[in-house]
Amino acid sequence: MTTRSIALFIGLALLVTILFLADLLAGPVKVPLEQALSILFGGQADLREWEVIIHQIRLPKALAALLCGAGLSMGGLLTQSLFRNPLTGPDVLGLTSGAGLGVALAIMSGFSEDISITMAASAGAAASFLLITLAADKVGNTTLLILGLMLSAFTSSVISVLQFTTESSKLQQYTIWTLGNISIPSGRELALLSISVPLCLIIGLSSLKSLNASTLGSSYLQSMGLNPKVLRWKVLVATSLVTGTITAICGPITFIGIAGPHLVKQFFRVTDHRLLLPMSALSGAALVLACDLLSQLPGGGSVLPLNAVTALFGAPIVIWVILRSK
Amino acid sequence: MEQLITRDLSVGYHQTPILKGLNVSLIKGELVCLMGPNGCGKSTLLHTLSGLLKPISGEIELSSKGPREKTVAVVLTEKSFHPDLTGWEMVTMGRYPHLDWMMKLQADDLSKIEQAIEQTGIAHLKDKRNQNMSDGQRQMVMVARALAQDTPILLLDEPTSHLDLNNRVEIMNLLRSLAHDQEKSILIATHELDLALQTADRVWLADGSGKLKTGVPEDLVLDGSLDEVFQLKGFTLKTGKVDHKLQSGKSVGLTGEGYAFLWTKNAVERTGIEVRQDSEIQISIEESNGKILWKTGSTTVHSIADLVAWLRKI
Repeated sequence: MTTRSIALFIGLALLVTILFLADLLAGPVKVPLEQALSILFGGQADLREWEVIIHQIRLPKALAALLCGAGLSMGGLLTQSLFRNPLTGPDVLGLTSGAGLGVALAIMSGFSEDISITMAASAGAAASFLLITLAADKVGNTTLLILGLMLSAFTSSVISVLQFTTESSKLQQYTIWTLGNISIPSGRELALLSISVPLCLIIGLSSLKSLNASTLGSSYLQSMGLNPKVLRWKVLVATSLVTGTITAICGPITFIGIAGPHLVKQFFRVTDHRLLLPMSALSGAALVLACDLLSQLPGGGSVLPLNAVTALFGAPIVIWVILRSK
Repeated sequence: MEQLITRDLSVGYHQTPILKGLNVSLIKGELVCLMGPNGCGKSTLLHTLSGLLKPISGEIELSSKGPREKTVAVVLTEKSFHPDLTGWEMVTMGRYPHLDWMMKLQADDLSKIEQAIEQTGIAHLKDKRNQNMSDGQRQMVMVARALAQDTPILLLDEPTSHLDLNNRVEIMNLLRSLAHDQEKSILIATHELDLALQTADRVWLADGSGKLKTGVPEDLVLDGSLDEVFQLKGFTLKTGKVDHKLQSGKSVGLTGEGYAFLWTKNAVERTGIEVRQDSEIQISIEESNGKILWKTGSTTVHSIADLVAWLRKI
């Protein structure tokens, strides 16, 4: 690893730290930076109110944004490397909508426990992944993306049908969820996120060699004694888990899975997953933190849905990637 | 000593064998060329021997007891790699079977990589990205990658297909010296008859009917096997020459020596005229002051171009 890549890594980590702090400071009530820092490190603040705001509202929200961005971005990277397709991600492949269907089925059949919704979402994402994987061997890159699109269209129409047959209170709960607002997550939700995202990182780290070798295609990967099937299952588990958990807790967040890894790939032109994986996690975290900051811009307490902001950022990045790869 | 032995091996896709009942072996220190017409199963056999494809029936026995990836390295025809990979990164991957999960290169790995880069002469491609490489450059990098893997057996599928003549000869010479000096067993699937005949210690010849004939290249030339399989049109393998349609009756006699004689003969035959010593027209090739002259009767020409023009008029 060169000194340049270490410098890039530190730079990205700094950026995430700055955005994280900014996210703690943003909001209708002004909290001075030094006060926020002292609260963060377990100290006392001048106003009891500030402590409550930081501890119970802003810190959980910023942590959720951080984990959510890191997880989606790593999930995106893993699918991109597995399918050798720069334009895939949990949302593009239909994993997010699969998770959404899982959530819809869970909410509409009366489950409201966060753990059961999370499990349903992960199962939905895994089911979508399995379907895509079955098709991936037989079709080319572009077809794979169209399949993901079809899968998304299919699940959303299933959800629409479900909505017609659901009583209004559950429907409202579902509608709020679809807006993808990182509202204040509960301690349990944060715990779920801080299990699944590091787990995704660990699975990714355990497959570094295979991920790197996959840049030469699966025949060469096999010839180096690595197993493409094992890689596929690992990516399936890691990505479904992380997409399911994040989708269940934060709503369907799109574009981060493509945009996160691509900012790293385009700016730093690295192909080594020892760098790509942690850097994608950082860039995804930075993106969602920035989006969360932006979503609070309207001021006066009103907050934009996060999903609208990620698309605002993400869509141009995806278009840029397509144009550059031509 | 055999590095690899097949027993009643049948290979193919979807249970349809292309090559059947193979009992062949790769000997230590030998360069073997696997030849045959398109679709005869060269690539399928190579993929099966390298473990990428399951045999339909039969067995492949490797004499080395370690894992396959430390015994067999491959160069395949695949070339859709990540566009941003650098030459160095691609060669480094040859060491992957020897590395732990963090892929930290030890001094031994680095020296193997540098050696492979030096042997293939690709030092200038270390920092070049895959998307900027020519097909030939990429091919050389992949050969270096296979060498860096440092295995007793090397299997290569059409390794010379994208290279120009110089590189083709260079890579075949390199592979031959690796076989002879470092005692590697090398199998090359190729359709380049000329290179194979000049470098291979042994030829595996697939005739397209599912059988594989093996032998020393010269034996296969003399017993007509190669002619039969390749159905060469207008080229006689035994003489190594293209058959020229000789114009009726015309012939010349040639006297001269060395390369000047050989190339003049080539030009004359190419023009469609037979070379016969008892011909009425005699051309003598002479050298004076380092220049070649062609004399016939009262006419003297100073180049083969002029000679051909003159021959066309007779």
